[in-house]
Amino acid sequence: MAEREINIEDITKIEGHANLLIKIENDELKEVRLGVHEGKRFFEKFMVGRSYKKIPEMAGRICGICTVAHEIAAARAVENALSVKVPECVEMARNMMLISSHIQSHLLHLCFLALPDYVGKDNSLEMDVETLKKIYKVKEAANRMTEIIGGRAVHPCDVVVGGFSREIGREDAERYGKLIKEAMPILEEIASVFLTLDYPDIRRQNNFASLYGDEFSLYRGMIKTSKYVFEEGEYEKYIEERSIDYSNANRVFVRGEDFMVGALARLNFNEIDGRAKEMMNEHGIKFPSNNSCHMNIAQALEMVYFAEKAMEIADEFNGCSERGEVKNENGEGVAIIEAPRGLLLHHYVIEKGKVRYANIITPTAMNLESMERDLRWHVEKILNRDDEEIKKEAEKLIRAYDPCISCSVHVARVV
Amino acid sequence: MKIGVFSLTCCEGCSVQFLNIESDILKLVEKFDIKNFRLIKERNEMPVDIAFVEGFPSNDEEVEKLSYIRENSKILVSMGACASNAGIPGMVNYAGKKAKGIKEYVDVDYFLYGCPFSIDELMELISCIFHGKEFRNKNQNVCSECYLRGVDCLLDKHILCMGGVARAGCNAVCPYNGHECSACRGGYEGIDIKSHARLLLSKGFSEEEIIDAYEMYMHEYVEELKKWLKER
Ligand code: SF4
Ligand code: SF4
Ligand code: SF4
Repeated sequence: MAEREINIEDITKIEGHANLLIKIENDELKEVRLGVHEGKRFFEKFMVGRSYKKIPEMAGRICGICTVAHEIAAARAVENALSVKVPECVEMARNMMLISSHIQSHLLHLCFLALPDYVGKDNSLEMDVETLKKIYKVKEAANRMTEIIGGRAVHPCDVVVGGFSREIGREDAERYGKLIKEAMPILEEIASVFLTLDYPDIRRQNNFASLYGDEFSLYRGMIKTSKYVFEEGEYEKYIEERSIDYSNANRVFVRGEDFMVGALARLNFNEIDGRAKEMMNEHGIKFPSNNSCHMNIAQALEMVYFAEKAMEIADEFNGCSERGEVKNENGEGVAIIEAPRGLLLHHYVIEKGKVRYANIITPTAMNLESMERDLRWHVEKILNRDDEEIKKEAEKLIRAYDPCISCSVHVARVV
Repeated sequence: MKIGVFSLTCCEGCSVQFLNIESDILKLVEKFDIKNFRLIKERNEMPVDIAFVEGFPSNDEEVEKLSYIRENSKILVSMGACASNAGIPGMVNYAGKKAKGIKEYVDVDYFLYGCPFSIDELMELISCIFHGKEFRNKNQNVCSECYLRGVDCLLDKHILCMGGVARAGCNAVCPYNGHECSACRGGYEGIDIKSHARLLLSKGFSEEEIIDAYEMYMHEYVEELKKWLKER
C-alpha cells in the first residue's frame, strides 16, 4: 500500500554535508537514516609520524568553526603526554580564546543556521538590515577577541605546545575586555530572542555528558554522564566508537548507550550565575531539560554567561610571556575539553618527539546516534503530516543539535 | 551579480572566513545576490556569475559536483589551500591516497591562496571583478612582508620557517605572531627550493625536518626536494 520516502539529499544550514532518509510504509515508520556522505579526511592517519610541535596547527584544520577547540585540545593532550607544566596565565589566555570562539560559534549557529526556521525565512541575510547589523556587530566582536589572543580568528596561529608563540600582553586583555563589554547589551538582546521561541517538544534523550567540576569550565574537568563520572585519561573504559555502513562518520556510545553532548548537556550538569541566571529566571526557564531542541536556549544562555566570565578573566589577566617547557619527548596523553558543540577528545602517543598514535573523537560524532534516535522518536509521532512538514520538523531537530559534519569525518583508522 | 559559495571536502574554514567579511558582507549583499551558499541557505540556485569553491573533491560525486559548478558559473574562484592543492589533507598523497586541488579537474579563473584565504585579498578580487580590472596574486615571498613589518627572523631562533618560499599576501601573520610560516599559501612563482633548502641546512636543520616542513602544504615540491637532497 502507501509507501512514502522522504529524502533530504544535502541538509542545508548545517556545517558539512549530511543526508536524511525516512521510509514510511502503511503508516508505519520503517527507517530513519542519518548518513554522512562527506568524504573522509584521514586526519589521525597523517598526524602519525609528524612532530608533536605541528599537532595543534594540524588539528585546527579539522574544523573551521571549532578550530580553537581543536587547537587547544590537541595542545593540552600533547602537554599531558609529555608532562609539560603549563603556566596559569597560558590557561587564562586559552580560556579567553575558547570563550570568544564559543560565542562566535553559538552566534553562527543560532542566528544564521537555526533562526531562519523559526521566523519563516530562507536565510538570515534576508532579515532586516538593523537586526543583521546587530548580529554582525557581536559576531565581529567575538572574532576580534579570538584574533587578539590567537593572531587570527579562523585558525589562530600562535597556539603551541606549552603556551603561545608570542607574548600576550595586559593590553591585549584590555582590548579583549572592552570588546566584550561593548557587545554585552546586544548579546543579551540576541540571547533573549532564543529564550522565547516555540520549540518542538522532543524529550527522548536522558543521557547527557559534559565536563563537570567545582567550576563550570570549558577547559578541563571530570567527565560526567547521566550514570558515570570519570577522568579524561580513563575514557577508553567508558567511550566506544563503532563504524556503520551508511555513514562515513563513526557512532559513539558510553557503555553501550547513546548520549548527547553540547550546551544543553553542560547546563544540565553545571550551575550558571550572573546575568544569564537572571535571564533564565525572568523567562521561567529551568535546567535540567531533556528537550533536545532546548540546545538553542542553552547556547543563548551560555553566550551571556561566558561573556561575563570572559570579562572577569580579562580583568585579572596580567600578561603572559611564559611557556611550559618540554623536557621529555615520549609519552601518552588524553585531553577532553568542551568545544562549542560538546566534548572533544584528543589522544596521542608520542615517541622520540613523533606522533605514533592519534585518536580524535568529536562532539558531532558523539551526537549522531542520539540525533538519529531522536529523529525516529519524533517522526513516529507526526507520521500523519505531509512530507514537507515532516521534512521541516526533522530539519529543525537536526539543526538544534548544531552538527558539525566536517569534524565528524576527520576519521582515520583506515584499514 | 549572482554569487555562490560552494564547499567540497574540507574544514569549511574558508566559508566561515567568507561570513567573517563582517560589515562588508552587508555592502556585498546590496551589490551582489548570494544565490547559493548551503551553509546558510535552504533554497540554493544555479547558475551563478561567480562561484567560490573551497575544499577538494574526495570522491566521484564531488568531482561531478565540481564540474556542475564549473558548467554553471562564469567565473570560478579557488578559495583556500584545500581547493588549491588539497591543503593539509593533501598530505595523504604520501600514503598512497590521491588528494588533488580543483585545478586538476576544472579550469580555475582566480586563486585565493591561504588556509584560510585572506579577507583583504577576497575584497580586492571582488572589486577587480566588479570594476573589470585585472586581479593579480602577489608574487613575492612572505619574508618580504616580515621585512616590512619589522619581524625578527625566526630562522635565527632556530625555528624552521617556510616564509622564504611561501607566497606573500597574508601580511606575514604567522611570523608576526612568533609562529613559523608553514607556507599555507603555497609557493610563489619565483620559488627556488634548492637555495631555500641550502639556507635551512646551513641554519642547522636536518634533511628530515626540511622534508616534513614541505610535506605540510607544499606537496608538489617534495619529490624535487628529496631528489635534490639525495644528489647534492
Ligand atoms: S584552506 Fe584551510 S581554512 Fe580553508 S577549508 Fe581548507 S583547511 Fe579549512
Ligand atoms: S621569519 Fe620566516 S618569513 Fe619571516 S623573514 Fe624569517 S624566514 Fe622569512
Ligand atoms: S605566514 Fe605562512 S603559514 Fe602563515 S598565513 Fe602566511 S603563508 Fe600561511
